[in-house]
Amino acid sequence: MPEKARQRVASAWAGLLVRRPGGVLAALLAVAALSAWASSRLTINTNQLDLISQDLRQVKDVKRVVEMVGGAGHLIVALRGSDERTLKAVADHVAGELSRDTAHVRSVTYKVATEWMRAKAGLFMETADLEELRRRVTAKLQDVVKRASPFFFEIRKTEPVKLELADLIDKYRRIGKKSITDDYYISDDRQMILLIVKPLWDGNELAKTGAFVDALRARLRATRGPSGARLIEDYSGKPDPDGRDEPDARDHHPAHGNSRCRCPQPTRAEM
Amino acid sequence: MKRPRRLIRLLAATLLSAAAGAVAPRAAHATGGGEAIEKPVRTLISAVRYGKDSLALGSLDGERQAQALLAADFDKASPAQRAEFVMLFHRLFAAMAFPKIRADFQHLETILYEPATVAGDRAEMGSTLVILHPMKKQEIKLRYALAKGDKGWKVVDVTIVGDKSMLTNIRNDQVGPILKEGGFSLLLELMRKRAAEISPK
Repeated sequence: MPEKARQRVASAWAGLLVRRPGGVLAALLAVAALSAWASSRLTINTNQLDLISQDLRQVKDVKRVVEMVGGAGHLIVALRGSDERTLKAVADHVAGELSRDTAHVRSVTYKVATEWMRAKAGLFMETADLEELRRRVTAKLQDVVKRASPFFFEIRKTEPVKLELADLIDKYRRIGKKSITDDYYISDDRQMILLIVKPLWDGNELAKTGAFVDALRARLRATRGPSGARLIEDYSGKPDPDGRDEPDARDHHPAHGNSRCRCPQPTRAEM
Repeated sequence: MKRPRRLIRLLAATLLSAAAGAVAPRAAHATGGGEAIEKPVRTLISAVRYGKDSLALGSLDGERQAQALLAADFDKASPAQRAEFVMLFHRLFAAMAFPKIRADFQHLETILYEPATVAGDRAEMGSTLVILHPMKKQEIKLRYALAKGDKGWKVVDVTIVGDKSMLTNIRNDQVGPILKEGGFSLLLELMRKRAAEISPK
């Protein structure tokens, strides 16, 4: 802007301030109020999909998948307790309660049938291990048959062949991260069960998720499981009231590579 | 002319029968053998079944069993050592095997004998034991190896069809390794010890 024009604008603004100081002040206050009102209406959109062009085909495809399966987000409820049987009974109870909440919960996963895996474990074993297994089983069978023979004869007493399979069983106890020795998502120390709760909406919808987590907390607090078991929200990892020294439940959480995962703090089943 | 023809026919028939007689004993195997071969097997089974262990042991050829069990070491042993080995082996065998066999015989329904196959002073005979266990009917097929000695036919070895023979198993699993480890003296020592444990006099 030329120097002359700038001086003219400044002189006009100064003249206005001198002539109508009250009017200028009122106008400034009105603009400030309007700005405050407008800024109060701002929201944070955490959904990265909304920040990308909605015309992209990939975005449309992802939204279709989200509509079909509810997105990738899920909540993990960790139940801790010192008695395995009660812990499982409480898990069944809580899972049943949550599954009935069809307005919010799409599914609850806390156990899968592993019998099939156990029955067909041979299909998942390495050839070398299968050969070793066969060698040990054959040796045991031959020994049993030999000892059962009516003509079995021993000058020097020998011990029956022992069928030791612990090392092979340990090697194939898990497929992926899931133990196939138990249907429940239970920790190795048998003191924690995980319930994976999938809401009906996408995990990025923080407002809905937050409200659901609050409702879930209240519901779990009010829950009375079988045998009067009650649930206490606790993340301390401190020994439970009955004196048992339990490890910090948070240590048992599976690694969350998925940033959409929302984990309510573990709930301890106190038995 | 008729008489010479008859004579020729007679001569030819005589020669043929003589030739047949000469060939027959040279046959590698012949079936049959009759009761003489069957008898020790029947005696053995019957004696074990009814608890007559001495009679059962009497139908076993201890000398030939010792030969099979000791193999090359048999010739190295003195007659006294051989005799002691046979005595101890029979004592142990009667104490270990006979009770098990008797237990199976409790459910014995029938025994079917097959004709014996004879080769010189050796013979083989098969039998099928039909045992009615409470859970299922079981057929055990056995083959007996027999040998003819001064006192007639005796049983040397028994094989459960599908397995190695009884003496082969005992030699491979027990006698052989002990002989290799400490020779005949260790074998006799262990047999004495075992006999004292399981069948104290």
